[in-house]
Amino acid sequence: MKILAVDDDPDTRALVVRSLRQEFGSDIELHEAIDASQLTEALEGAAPDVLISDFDLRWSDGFEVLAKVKAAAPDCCCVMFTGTGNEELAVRALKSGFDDYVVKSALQLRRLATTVRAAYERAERTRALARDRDILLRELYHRVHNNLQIVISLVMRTSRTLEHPADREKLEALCARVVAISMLQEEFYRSERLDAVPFGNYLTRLAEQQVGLADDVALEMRLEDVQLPVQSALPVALVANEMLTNAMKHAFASGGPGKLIVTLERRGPEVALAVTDRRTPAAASASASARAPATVRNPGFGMELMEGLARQVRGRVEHEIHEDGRTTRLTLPL
Amino acid sequence: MNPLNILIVEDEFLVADYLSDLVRQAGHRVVGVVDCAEDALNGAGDFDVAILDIRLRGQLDGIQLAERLRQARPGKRHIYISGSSDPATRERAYATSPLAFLQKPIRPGELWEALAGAA
Repeated sequence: MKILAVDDDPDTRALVVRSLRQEFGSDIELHEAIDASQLTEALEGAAPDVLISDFDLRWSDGFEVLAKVKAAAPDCCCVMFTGTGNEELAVRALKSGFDDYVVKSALQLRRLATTVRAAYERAERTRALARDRDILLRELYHRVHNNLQIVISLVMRTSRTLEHPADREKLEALCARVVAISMLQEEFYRSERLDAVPFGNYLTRLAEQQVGLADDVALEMRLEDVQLPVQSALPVALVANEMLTNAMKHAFASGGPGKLIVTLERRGPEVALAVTDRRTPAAASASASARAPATVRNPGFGMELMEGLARQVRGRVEHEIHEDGRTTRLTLPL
Repeated sequence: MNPLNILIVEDEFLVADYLSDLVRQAGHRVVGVVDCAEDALNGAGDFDVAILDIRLRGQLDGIQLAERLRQARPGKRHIYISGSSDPATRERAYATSPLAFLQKPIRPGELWEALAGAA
């Protein structure tokens, strides 16, 4: 354990050192800093595990020392050891990030060492818990992705045994939906928040993946920074997947040229997610014929899915037909 | 496009099977499917690109396998597929200059794009 004692009174430092040596023997590496340059120097080497700092220093105060030490060693546990203390300072110290507060006096000197030990052990336990949590989280994500991959592999293997291309297409669409879910999972993992996800990032990855395969279709993303909570992110992700799939399948069945516009914007208390396809005239006439049979063959499953998921998030789906394409929009309360 | 000879190293039978399908759909040849790094090092025939799962049965993981393949067979390329995407693993993986690092579940288009980069 590396301990850094910051105090500009040599007598106090000597007492601190003696008290710590009595408690820890040679298990500790002790460093002392009496001024700003010694503090900087001490922080340049290996990070300290424990800081003991006075509040009232001629060249600084305990809070500035805390900030410097935490910047260099975020995990360092910190104890304020002061003779100028009162209750107000003690509360401020604990709120600012000190792990404990000990008043300088002959009686408290022994307490300083046991306080340091307790604070250090507490910090160790917290670190161990955080490590375990990280390992668990990584393992969980790995298994989720791996298992979804197995589900997709199984579905695709089943698909090979089907005779009709239309049936195989339905299973492929099912796999695309599973992939859309797993990409959302990935976004949660990356965002380092478990309760909300930056939805624009997700839309970008989803849209790029869908449009990436098509020739001559430009992708335009108009995204505001919207965080969706975990309960609505999944249904909205699935609606987005349907919108993109429909646009690619119906508007650009035989490729471009054209443009796919994805917008995500706040509208007062609501969020609107829209996918617009704009076909250049040549593509429009080419896909007009491709579009009709696809819509007739599967008259409503995708639509039903969108409507149901929209209801789940208390939202609504609207369609607009333009001269050169159409817009599908999901609006939901944020 | 030149058809490539592809070696698949993946210990889940279903996933290996799915990958083989995707490789063939893109017009390439699957020249071997093995489920551990040791078999890939000892028994694999000639290939252009290895598709490597990172977590494998046996002593070596996919990244260690790539390191050895790069020494033993310079000029061969590889693509990682993995269920995990933690930064430390990615960093180790990218240090071996893969054609791509693909997150499971695999998006077919991404795999085809990565293969097209080697063809």
